[in-house]
Amino acid sequence: MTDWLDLELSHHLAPTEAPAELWGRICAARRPRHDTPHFALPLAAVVTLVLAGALYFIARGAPAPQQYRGYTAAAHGECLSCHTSL
Amino acid sequence: MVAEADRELVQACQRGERDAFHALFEHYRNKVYSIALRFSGDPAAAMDIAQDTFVKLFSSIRDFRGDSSFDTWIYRLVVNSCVDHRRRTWRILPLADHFQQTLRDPGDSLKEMLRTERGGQVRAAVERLSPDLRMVIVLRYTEGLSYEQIAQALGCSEGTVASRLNRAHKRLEQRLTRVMKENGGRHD
Repeated sequence: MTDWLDLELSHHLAPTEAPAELWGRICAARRPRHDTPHFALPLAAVVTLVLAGALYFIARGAPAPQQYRGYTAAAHGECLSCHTSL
Repeated sequence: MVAEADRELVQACQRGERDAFHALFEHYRNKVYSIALRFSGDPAAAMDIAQDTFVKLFSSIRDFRGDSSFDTWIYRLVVNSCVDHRRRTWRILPLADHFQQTLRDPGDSLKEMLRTERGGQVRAAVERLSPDLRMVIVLRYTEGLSYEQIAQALGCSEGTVASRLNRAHKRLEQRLTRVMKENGGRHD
């Protein structure tokens, strides 16, 4: 590196004085804010998804789970030929 | 290791004494702001970075255990704030620059004059360096840090610092030599 570059950089990148209003800005930024808590957004998303899922199944008319169909059918004496696992 | 005066100040801050926070701020404000300004090249961005650095500093000062120098700890915070700020604004900046170009008053030539002035040329050349190279240059020339201190602040080896400084010097030398020739300036 050449000396002139060293001199130019030292001279033109010298430290400078911070504006007086910086302290005020820091104090304002440190005041406790009543913002939305960090967990609020994910929680709202989860609740929305659960509600949407529940509404979907209600609207669709949730079918009885497959494994109980056989029991139900056998209890009513129906369809024994195809529910052989009983 | 922490100097005795710094240690007492830091301990007072860790106890939550407001005056100590202000004293610490007064002690470090020019250092922090200067690094932020030389890195970003923009006073408004430098204010944001400095504010962010001090807020982080005050909220995490209880975590400082004195294993390393307090200066080094602060330099790390400033470096991280500079990087964070750049990450947050890099998508917006080209648009903002475009707007500034569009809205610029034809009579507002002060900035252009400052750019053509020697100091403006040097700082513009530094601003065009990649962030890694620019930060090494700023820590070296604005704060006068040694290779070892820069390495500690950046969390890299001294060899990496030397290599980045070398590359930065070469690029700056090329750019500034060309600019000064174009302007008929001398650099002796």
